[in-house]
Amino acid sequence: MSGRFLFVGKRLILAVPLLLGVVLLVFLLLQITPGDPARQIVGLRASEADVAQVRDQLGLDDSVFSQYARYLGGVVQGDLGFSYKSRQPVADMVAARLPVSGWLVISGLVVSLMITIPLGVWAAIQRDRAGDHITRGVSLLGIAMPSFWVGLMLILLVALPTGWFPVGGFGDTFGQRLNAIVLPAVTLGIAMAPIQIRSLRASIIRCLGSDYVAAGRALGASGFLLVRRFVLRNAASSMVTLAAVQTSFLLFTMVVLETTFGLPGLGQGMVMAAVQRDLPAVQGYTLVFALTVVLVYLLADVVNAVLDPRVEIRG
Amino acid sequence: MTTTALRVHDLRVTAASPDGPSYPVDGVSLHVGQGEILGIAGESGSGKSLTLKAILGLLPPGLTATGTLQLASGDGELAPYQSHQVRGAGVGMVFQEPMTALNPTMRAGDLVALAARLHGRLSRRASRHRAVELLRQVGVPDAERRAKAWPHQLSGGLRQRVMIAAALAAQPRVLLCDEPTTALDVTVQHQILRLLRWLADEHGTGMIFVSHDLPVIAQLCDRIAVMYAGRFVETGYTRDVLTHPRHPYTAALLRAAPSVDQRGEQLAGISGQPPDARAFPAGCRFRPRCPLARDDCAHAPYEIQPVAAEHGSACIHHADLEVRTA
Ligand SMILES: Nc1ncnc2c1ncn2[C@@H]1O[C@H](COP(=O)(O)OP(=O)(O)OP(=O)(O)O)[C@@H](O)[C@H]1O
Ligand SMILES: [Mg+2]
Repeated sequence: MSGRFLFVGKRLILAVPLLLGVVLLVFLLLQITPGDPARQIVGLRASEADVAQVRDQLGLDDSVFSQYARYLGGVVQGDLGFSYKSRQPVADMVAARLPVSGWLVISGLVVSLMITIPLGVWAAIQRDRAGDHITRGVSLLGIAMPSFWVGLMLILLVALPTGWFPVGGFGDTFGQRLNAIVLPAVTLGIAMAPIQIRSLRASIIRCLGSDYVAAGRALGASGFLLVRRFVLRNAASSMVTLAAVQTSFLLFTMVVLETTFGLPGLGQGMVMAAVQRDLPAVQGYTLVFALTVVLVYLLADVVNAVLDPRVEIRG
Repeated sequence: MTTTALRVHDLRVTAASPDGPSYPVDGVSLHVGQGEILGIAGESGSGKSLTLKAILGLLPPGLTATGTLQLASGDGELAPYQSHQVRGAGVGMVFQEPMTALNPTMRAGDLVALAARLHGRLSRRASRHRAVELLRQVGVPDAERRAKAWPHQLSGGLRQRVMIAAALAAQPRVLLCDEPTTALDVTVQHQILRLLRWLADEHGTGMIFVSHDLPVIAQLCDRIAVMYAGRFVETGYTRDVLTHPRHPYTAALLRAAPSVDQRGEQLAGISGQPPDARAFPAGCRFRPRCPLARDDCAHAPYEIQPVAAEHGSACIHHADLEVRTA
C-alpha cells in the first residue's frame, strides 16, 4: 500500500518541473507576440509619455528573467495580471468561467461512460455477433455527427418542444446548473463515447482471452459476474488513460459546445479574449487549460494506481 | 473397482483455419474413477491442455469440440453434461501457468471466497472464513494474512496453492490439473503433489494430471495415458506402462526421462520434432520418428488394442516390442 502512495508522490514531484515549463511557455506567449502591450493598453492615440509610463508600471523594460520571475511569482499566488480590455484581474475572469467548463467536462465524461460501459461490454461479449455490429453502427453514427449539429438537434428536438431545459446560460443553484448542463453533457458524451467504446471493447476482448478469465470460468463464474469480477477492473486502466487523453483534446469541442448552448465557460472566454487581442486573458486561459491537462494526466495515473495493485512494482 | 467419476468418449477438437480444419485432439477417450489420478504424458504440443480445456468447455475462440462427455451425478450414475453447468462443483481445473491464471486485480482470499460463494450459498463473511480455512488446508502458511495479498505478492508455489484452494472451494468431483508443478521448484513441487494425492485419497476427488514429466507421473498417478499428436498411444496402470512400455513412443519418452526404474541408463532425447496438428502423417503418427517403423505402419489404422489386462497400445507391432524390451 505504501508503495502506491510512493508512486503517487513521485508523480506529484515529477509534475513540478512540468508545471514550471507550462508557465514558462505561457509567459513566452506574451514575449513573442508582436506589438507593444503598453501601446495596446493605452490606445493608439495616447502620447509616447503615457506609453512609457505604462511600460514602467508593468515593468516591461526589465530583463526577461525578472519579468518571468515576477510572472511566476504572481501565478503561484493566483495573480494572472489584468485584462487589457476590462481591466479586471484575469484570475477573477478565469475563476468565474472555470466552474461552468468544469461542470461541462465532468458531466460529459459521466454521460460518455454511461454510454460506453454497457455498450463496450455488450460489444465485447457479443464479439462478431449482432450486438457487436449494432454497437459498431451506433458508434460510427456518433463519430459522423459533429457536436454542434448534435447540440442544435437536441435544442430543436428536445429543449424547445419540451421546455424542460434552458437553451442558453448557466444557473446559480445546483438544480439550475444540473438542468442547464444536461443537454451539453449529452452532446459531449456522444462525442466522446464512440472511441471509448472501441477501446473498451478491445481491452475487454483481450481480458476475456486471458488465462485468469478462463480460470474464473473454470470456477463457475459466468455472464455479468465474470465480467464484473474478472474483467472490468483489468480493462479499466486503458479507459482511464483514454479519457485523460480525450479530456486534454476537449478544448475545441468545448468552444463549440459553449457557443451552441450559450454557456459562459472557458472555451467561450478564450475565443473572446483572442478576438479582442486581450493577451493577459489569453495567457490566463491557456495557463488554466495547460494546468488542467497536467492535472488530468496526474489524476489518471493516480486512478490507475488505485485500480491496479501491481503499480507499486512498476512505480 | 472404483466408480467412474468422469468419462470422455471420442473427443475431437477442431481448429478451423483458411486452409481447412485440423484436429489437434483427435479421438481421445478416457475415464477417471473417484479418488483416482489419471496422468496424461506427452511432449509439448501433443494436445494435453486442449484435451482438458475441451472437457470443461474452455477452448479458445476458433476451436470447437465434439464427442461424449459424461459426469457422475450424486448417485453415481454417469450422465452427459453441458460444460457450463458443471464448471466448479462438477469439474474444476488448475491451470498450467500460476503466473497468468490468477486475476491480477483480485486478492487471493477473494478468489477463493468467490468460488466458495458460487457453490455454497454462503454469506460474504462466512465465505471469507471458508477461504482462509481452505488456504490453510492447502498449506498456505499464515493464511489469514496471505488471503489479503495480491497475486503478484505471492510466490509461484503459493499462487498454485491459491488456485488449488479456489478449485477446491467448489468441492469438485473431478479436478483437472494442467502441469500444476512444472513452473515450480522441486521442493514446492513435492508439496503440491502430496496435496493432490491427499485430495484424491481423502476426498475421493478424481483427477486428471497432465505433465510431460514421467517421474512425477510415476510418483503420483494410478493410471497413465501417453499422448502423441492428438491421440492416446498407450494407456494402462502407471506401473505396467512405465515398466513394460508397449509403444515405441512411450519407450522413447522413458529413455529421455531421468530415472524411472531405469537408473544408470544413458539419457537419450527423441530425435525429430513432434508433428504439427495441420500436418499429421497418415497411418501411425509416430512413424517418421520411430526407430522400429516398417512399411505397414504408414497404413496402420488408429486403434488402441489390449496388450495385457487393463493395458492398451496403439502400435500395430506391440507384440514385437514386448520381445525387445523383455
Ligand atoms: N488456439 C489455437 N488455435 C489453433 N491451434 C491451436 C490452438 N491452441 C493450440 N493449438 C494446437 O494444438 C496443439 C496442442 O496444444 P496444447 O496446448 O494442447 O499442447 P500441450 O500438450 O498442452 O503442450 P504443452 O506441454 O506445451 O503445454 C498445439 O501444438 C497447436 O498446434
Ligand atoms: Mg499445455
